[in-house]
Amino acid sequence: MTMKNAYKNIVRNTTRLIAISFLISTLLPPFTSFVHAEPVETPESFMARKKSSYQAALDALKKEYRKWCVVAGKPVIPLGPEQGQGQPPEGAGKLPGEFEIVSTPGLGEDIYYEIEQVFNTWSSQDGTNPFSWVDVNGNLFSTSSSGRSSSSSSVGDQCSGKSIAFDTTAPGGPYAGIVLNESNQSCRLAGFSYTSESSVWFNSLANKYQYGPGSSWSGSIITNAQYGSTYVKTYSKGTNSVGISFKVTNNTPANANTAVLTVNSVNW
Amino acid sequence: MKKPLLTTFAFSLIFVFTIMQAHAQEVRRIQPIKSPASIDEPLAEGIKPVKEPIPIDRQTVEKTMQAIADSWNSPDMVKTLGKNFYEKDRLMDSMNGKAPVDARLRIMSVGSYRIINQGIKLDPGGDLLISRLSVIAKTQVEYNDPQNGFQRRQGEQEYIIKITQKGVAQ
Repeated sequence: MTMKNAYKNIVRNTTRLIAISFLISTLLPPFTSFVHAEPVETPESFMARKKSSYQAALDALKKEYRKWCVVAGKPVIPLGPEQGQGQPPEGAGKLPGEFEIVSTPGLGEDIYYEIEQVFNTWSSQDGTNPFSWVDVNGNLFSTSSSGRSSSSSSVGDQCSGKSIAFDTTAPGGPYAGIVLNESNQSCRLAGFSYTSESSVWFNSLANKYQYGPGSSWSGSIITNAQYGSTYVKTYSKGTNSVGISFKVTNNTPANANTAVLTVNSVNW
Repeated sequence: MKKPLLTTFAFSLIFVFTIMQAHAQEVRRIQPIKSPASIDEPLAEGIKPVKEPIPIDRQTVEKTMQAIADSWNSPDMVKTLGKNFYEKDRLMDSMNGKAPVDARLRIMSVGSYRIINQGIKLDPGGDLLISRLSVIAKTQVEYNDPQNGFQRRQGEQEYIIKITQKGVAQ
């Protein structure tokens, strides 16, 4: 073996060693990261998971409510006559299904009270909180919302040119939403802590806001939308698609913690 | 001549694969869940905390809820709202502008309630027991609409209320 061959062998062996080391060092990190990588959850699967867990909690709450809070043998029937009828004079006989478990004597002089906060529970409909200024301005005294709670199917487009304010500091998630019904091509706005019925949800962040599709609708999710900018987006469900032009503003003169969603137009 | 080419190709694949893996990572942000601030507010000045919670009887809670319902949409409504009530002025403005005169709030049922915190305030006229409660109640807003007749809006709310009782403190 000549000196030249020995040198060649050394070079070849060194090259092999470097190549194998490089191979191992490049293969190992991807492999370990693949083993330890946490599966990345998509927004859609996150929403679906949350909805299913909320639904389960809601069902459990309903069971508990019926177990503890309903008078045995008496069905939960809304008080008062059917909606759309004239209201009978007070005291004109008992109403069907009526139950009142609350007696109404005065509090007396030794008890004082004050209300600090009132929140809708999960089992309550949106817009029914009698101590929320948003609900008082919105669905509580809007007769169009009766179409939602009754069996009426046609509620029409109640979005175009309409606005809804939502509190950016409210507990449980400062949300507003556009509720779309593809069967009668109707639309309405909703303010809520959380609901599964919104087709497009809006969530206020610090200096921007985010929005995206919910409730089986598909479309783009934007996480850095700018307040005050008008966006035109298309959302679809099955064969139905709808183009929505909207804008969200914040920091109204009256309240720095309020955002306002305004829908300019809805085109099916 | 083939071997170096294959080796280079294999190295390129590995390099690209490594880059793709690195880009697939994401940084998750922590978004804290907000909770009612009033629960953390002190009940009042000079409050002495109780060693053991003093139970509030159900009748008192029901009477309070009924009184709240009676005062709703009345001139006394603003008096029932505490100083920490969120957007009190805005609520009253909305009530004055939107609520029909005949709108009333009916308590349909009072569900579970729990004491959030409690304390005793010493008073020459008799010690005061101050309790902050969470009460679940099913309510119904009723009013007559000129076009659509009788309307009702049912809901279930959690009320955070502060009850002050005289002569109950031990």
